[in-house]
Amino acid sequence: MLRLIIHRITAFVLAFTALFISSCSFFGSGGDPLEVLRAEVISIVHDEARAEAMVADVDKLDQLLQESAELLGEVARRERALFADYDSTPQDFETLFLERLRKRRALQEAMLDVHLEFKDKATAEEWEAILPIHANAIAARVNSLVNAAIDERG
Amino acid sequence: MITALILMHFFGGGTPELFSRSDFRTVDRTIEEPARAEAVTQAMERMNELLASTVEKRRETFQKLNEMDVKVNSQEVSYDEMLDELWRTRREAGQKYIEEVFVMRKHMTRDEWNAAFVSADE
Repeated sequence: MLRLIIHRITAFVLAFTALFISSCSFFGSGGDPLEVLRAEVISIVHDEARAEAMVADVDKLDQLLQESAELLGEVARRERALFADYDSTPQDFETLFLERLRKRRALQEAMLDVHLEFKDKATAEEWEAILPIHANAIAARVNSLVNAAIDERG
Repeated sequence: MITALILMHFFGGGTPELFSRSDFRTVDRTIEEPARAEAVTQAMERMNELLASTVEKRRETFQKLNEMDVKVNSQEVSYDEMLDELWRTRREAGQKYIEEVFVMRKHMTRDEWNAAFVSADE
């Protein structure tokens, strides 16, 4: 029992350390986190056709994340204009809000589809190796895109 | 857990839940009349509660996702079903938020509104 507990603690510490190190490298390097993910996919998946298809999924995901950030920036600008106009109506606000909600949901569901397609292409072992890198790359990309959109809207 | 982390980013981590305008700290300062300033302050407080409630709903949804991670990994769980409630909460809170914007406006003159929202953004 004690051995099992020690084994689980060791596994947790190793997994956490790996995540922490890869996270530090993503956030600290200032490089393109999805480029790191593409390189890791090619390195981990030895079947060239599957690796290429998975890199294409990363490209699709990258595009969707950028579209999400553009939507955030565009909606923030239009929202600021509505607040700046005393004569804006509740209907104006509702139209903008529902449009954002609809587009946001469509983009996020498309991201989920691409994510599941990407995952389906990997073997269990490959997925285990790619997952922490994938998670950190997405976190770093979302972080930089949201910050850029927030900076843009001032 | 990591799958949930990825999904949390896809489904809104770090982005404004309703409108991006969530800082109304100075709005009531443009109103000299205490009763109207108080009414606006109360509307702002209700808006902040709405924003907090949607952030909490998002946190709860991804907490559930973490707990169901094994099933999620084997794709036995309907993501749509799991996330529908989150979207419904966002829609309802957004509509209430808009009502509060217009409660604020009802208590503010054009000049006060412009001082709060136009000058602040320039």
